[in-house]
Amino acid sequence: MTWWPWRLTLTRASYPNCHRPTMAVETRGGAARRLLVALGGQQNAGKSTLFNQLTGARQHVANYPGVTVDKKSGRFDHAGHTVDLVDLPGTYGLTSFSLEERVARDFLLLERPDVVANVVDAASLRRSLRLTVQLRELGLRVVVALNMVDVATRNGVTVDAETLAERLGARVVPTIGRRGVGVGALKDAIVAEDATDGAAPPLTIDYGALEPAIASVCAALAPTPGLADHCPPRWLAVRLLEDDDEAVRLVKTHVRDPTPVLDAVAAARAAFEAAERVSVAERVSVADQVASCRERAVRAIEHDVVRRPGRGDRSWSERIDTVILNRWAAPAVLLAVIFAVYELSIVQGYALTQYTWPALAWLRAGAAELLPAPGFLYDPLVRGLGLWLVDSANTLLNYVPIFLILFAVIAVLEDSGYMARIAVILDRLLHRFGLHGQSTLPYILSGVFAGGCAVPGVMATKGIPDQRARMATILTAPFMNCLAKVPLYTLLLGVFFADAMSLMMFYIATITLLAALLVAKLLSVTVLRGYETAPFIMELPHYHWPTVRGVALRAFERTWVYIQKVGTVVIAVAVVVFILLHLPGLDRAEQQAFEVRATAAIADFQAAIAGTPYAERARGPALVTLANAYVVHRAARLAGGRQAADAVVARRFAAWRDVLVPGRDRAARTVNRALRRLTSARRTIRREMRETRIENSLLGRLGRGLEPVTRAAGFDWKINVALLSSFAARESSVATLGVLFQDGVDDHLTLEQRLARDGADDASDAGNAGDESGGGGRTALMALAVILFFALYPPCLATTIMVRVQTGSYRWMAFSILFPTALGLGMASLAYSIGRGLGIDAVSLMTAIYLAALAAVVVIGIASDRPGRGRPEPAVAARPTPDAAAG
Amino acid sequence: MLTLDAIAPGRTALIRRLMSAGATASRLLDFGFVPGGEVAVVGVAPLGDPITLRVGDDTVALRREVAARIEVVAAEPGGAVS
Repeated sequence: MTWWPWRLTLTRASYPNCHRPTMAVETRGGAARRLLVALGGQQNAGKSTLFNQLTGARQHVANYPGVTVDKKSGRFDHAGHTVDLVDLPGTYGLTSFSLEERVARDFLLLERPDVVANVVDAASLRRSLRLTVQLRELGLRVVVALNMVDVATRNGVTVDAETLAERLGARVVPTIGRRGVGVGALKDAIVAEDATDGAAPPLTIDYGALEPAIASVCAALAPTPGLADHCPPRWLAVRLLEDDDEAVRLVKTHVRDPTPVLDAVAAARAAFEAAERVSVAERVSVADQVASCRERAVRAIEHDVVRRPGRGDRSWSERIDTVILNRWAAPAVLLAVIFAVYELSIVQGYALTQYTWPALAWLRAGAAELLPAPGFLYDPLVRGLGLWLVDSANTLLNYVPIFLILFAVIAVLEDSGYMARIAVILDRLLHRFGLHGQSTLPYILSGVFAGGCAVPGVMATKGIPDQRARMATILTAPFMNCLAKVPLYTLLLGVFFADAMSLMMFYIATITLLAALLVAKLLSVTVLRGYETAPFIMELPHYHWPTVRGVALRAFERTWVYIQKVGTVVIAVAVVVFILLHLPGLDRAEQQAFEVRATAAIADFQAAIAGTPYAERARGPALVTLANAYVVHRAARLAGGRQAADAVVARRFAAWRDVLVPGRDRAARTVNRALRRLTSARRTIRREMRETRIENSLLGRLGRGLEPVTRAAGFDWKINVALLSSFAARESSVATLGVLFQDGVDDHLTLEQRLARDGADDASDAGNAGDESGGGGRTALMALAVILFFALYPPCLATTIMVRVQTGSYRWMAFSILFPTALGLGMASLAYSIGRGLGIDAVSLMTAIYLAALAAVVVIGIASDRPGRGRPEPAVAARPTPDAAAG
Repeated sequence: MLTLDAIAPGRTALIRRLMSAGATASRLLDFGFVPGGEVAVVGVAPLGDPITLRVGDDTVALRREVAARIEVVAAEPGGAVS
């Protein structure tokens, strides 16, 4: 561990006059000083942000002595002084309950920092003040950074900084850490506080009935004045009465004969407890008395300095809750809200993408035009990669309207206060599966109702206080059906389950939730058992109308995170997948074979147009341009009709207009016909080339290599490649399938038809024929296996990175990939073999699987209910009688 | 011994003792469960757990297992606080 310079220069322990010495002002303020400043506060009050703002890049991390708590320290220079800033662990108080609080308290007691900068959350001042009050009871010089004043103002909360300073005996500086507002003033205040002659006296809290006891302990401590160098006697007296180990140790080390002091403490405590026994609250412990008196003091300060005019009406909130949380109405309201969210975001959002998609298509067309033109057989690398990237980006951007609506609707639920109610309604259910009421929001974001994204979903687990439930949520939220899974489902359902489409979609949409619950239960009783749990305590905010600004802000923020995280990762991975799909490419013999066929097709074309006036012009590079022009023209006509196609030709290929849009001219028509044959031959060759290339490619080899493993589930190498590429982004699965199942493109067959047809003439697959439904060759059973695998499939790469961020561990990230893969493959294989072995058709099999999962959830749910607890009504009604008080 | 989970909705109680320690206790204090303070049981979640309570000006939901670790004395609203 590092030895700090200030430890050497300011050895506090040996410095007799450390408790706010009466040094001359000029010594403290005039000469350049080296200050030790501690930064304290709660974790979520913006402490780390402010720490970074204060120190900039000059910081490093070590451990507090003997414990694994991070000690972050940094340094900054201000007004000629050098300040060593130490970040205390985030705490709510200075009791010796938790490790963090003990560490913070030890540091304050042993190192006696010159000033403590205390970050408090202006928006929830009371919670923050509990620590501030304790710092001031310790007699420390405190500068309060009244942080997040912008959030407070937005919530309509104003804090009277002047009165706060007066009540606390500390300087108060309003700050906005995120924007660096007030950081300079904070530095000024720290230096000024240090330079002030004599610190404000320690804050005194009225401990009521405990006061006589405190007085007698103080009297016992009085003969040892040296103790006051370490802490105020009153503070020590209270701690001793609480039977605090650290305080007892302090007395034992510093008082020559500690026995009289400790005896006095014991006597005072006994007297207090004896006196309190006769009053209403029987057997009040000292700690309880201290906590309640301190709480009263904090509330009194809060009452004097905080003004919140527009607070929601409590009586109204409770009235609404009698309906919303009513046992009969609650499920109905919840279902209605979930349906509304689904309808608004997924259904209407999809409808909206019909208007936004043309813009993205336009973007792609623009890119296709800008990138180097394709060759006859080989495209320039830049073109291939460029279009690949644009396609990848487009599939993601296509979801933006849906996400904007989804996130806005969720923000409305959060801001109105209903989200907290959902957590309360569902907590008992979720708790049985190792989850938490607050797991609801991550699940909804991830796509409980077939549409969502696990990236914001996993991110939203941050607020779950129960570590075990939080981990279970992180690892199971990706099972939800994210938006990108939907296209593959629709594709496969359309091909193989056209008759039972809505039933199958219902199964798929809900079975993932059943699976998530079962897996969460499994994980929380096995690998997650060691994680600590926390009690369910949740504030139910009063209902109020969400503001347009608040909702819009949050919706844009979350959507932006989606674009950033998913966007960057997907683009990066798209490049990798592109490479994996293209390397090593074709070997020489294959290349030559394709080139021979291309040459033959060109020779045919030239023979056909020989003698026309175009024969001389359509040669070499011009021929390639003409062939490309024909393709562009045809695509434009299919997409936008004859007029649009003519416009494109007029703009880009005016020279070939006669041939592309032949009039009566015989020669032009001949060329056009020949051109059609040529481009058709070219397309066939190119398609076969691509297939050969993918088959040769690294990803193709991997897919083939996995065939022995995946055969049990009925997946051939093409499916394997599609599933592998979907790890980058789920959207790719459909695109890759599209490339792999190209037969029939010429016949204008849709991917659905091609998928169904392919394999009918494939001998290896013909053996699998369970020809119950839809497509002939590829069986519905195999489609079911793919669907099951895809439902349980590992999170996409962007999500696993978010898992890494939220769990802080690469091992959990690896787990989040490996476990679902094994599970999915196992389930798919099981379903496939049972279906084949027993000759069950796919829909019945899915029904059986679904019912089995449902039964498992019900059985585990009932078995996991805590016995004797959670009865619908309390068994004992409170009777305000004296014997109840005696119990 | 009367604990908070046994108080019927609509009733009020005085907190006598927090029988939990450490993080739980400090979280309870955070939410205003202070010995000597008043708590009103507002309602019960549809599935019977958690219960909703009024502490000061706030409404807080608490699982029964936590409420069972809070010793209380039954009181009528507006009754004396120790």
